[in-house]
Amino acid sequence: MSMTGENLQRETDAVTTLLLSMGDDEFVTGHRMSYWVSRGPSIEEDNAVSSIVQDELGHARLWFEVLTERADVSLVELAVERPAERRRNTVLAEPAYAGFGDLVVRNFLYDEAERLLVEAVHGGDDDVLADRAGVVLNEEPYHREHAALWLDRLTASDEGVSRLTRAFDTNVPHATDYFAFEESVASTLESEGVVDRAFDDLQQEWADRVVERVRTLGLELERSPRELVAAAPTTNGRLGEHTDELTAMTRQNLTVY
Amino acid sequence: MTDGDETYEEPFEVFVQWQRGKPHEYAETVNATDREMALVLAKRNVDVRAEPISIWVAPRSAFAATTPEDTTLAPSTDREYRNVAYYAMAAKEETE
Repeated sequence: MSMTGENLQRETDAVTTLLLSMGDDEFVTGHRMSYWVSRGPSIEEDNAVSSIVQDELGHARLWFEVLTERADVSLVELAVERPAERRRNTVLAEPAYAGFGDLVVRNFLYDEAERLLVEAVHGGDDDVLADRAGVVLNEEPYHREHAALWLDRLTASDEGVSRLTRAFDTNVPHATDYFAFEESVASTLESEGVVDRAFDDLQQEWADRVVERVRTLGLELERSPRELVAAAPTTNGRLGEHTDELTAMTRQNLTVY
Repeated sequence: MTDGDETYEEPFEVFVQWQRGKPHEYAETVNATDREMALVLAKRNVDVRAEPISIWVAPRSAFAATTPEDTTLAPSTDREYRNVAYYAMAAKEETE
């Protein structure tokens, strides 16, 4: 096994950081979500979730492939062999699921954030990234639709409301690292036009959407939603900070491929 | 999805149009809580790689259907003479 990722100028190159972030988001999300294949509330739902899983893993490949074209590194090194401390995914993707409501809320938080970032890349000046962003955006509406319908339906019972409430309480704080890229990385991506909107602006729009959704669902969270979305991340995956659950996952992957 | 004995879902019949201009064909059944959810599930429970043009869903309860014993479906007398093929067959028999 080679020294995975050694050939990437990972701390200095803003585009590399962005690609690792988007690729790791999709890879870890897809990998985690595969847990639900055979465990969904119905076999129809298993099929729907496994289709989303395939989309996410395919998107991880789209982003990682760009890195293999720009540096001497392979897909396997990037996706499977790279240890947790070199990952850049949001910590939202890391924990095991607490239940189906947890999956739905995490997908909602993630899909809304991802849409904003990928649209900004789609509108950006790096043609290779912009093209691939277009492919990703094509498949994302189904993911949002799926999460949106389940959110509405899970509020139909008290049990559902309490599960959704708990899921927002625990997951929103994990999602606040999504746009919290290192200052130098964010400013380079903005000034070089790789993204066509400022990260602060994207974060603000995501926060507004989450607050609005919690309001329309009629959920009463432990803290005010506005406070939750605005809090600084305690563990920031964009800086390479991760939970033990990601370490366990990447180690396990090394034993089974 | 069940909560004790309570079932929230019902079967929905799924019809897919595979080619433009062709009819929607019955494809499968999905269980869902309502029409919108049935459509979302149907979208990933039919073969999307075959690029369907359009999908319809309807609750099974919305259909009126015949039973296998329904006698009104079968003609009671021989009406084969109403088909053109019958005369071709008869003419052939005559020449033999």
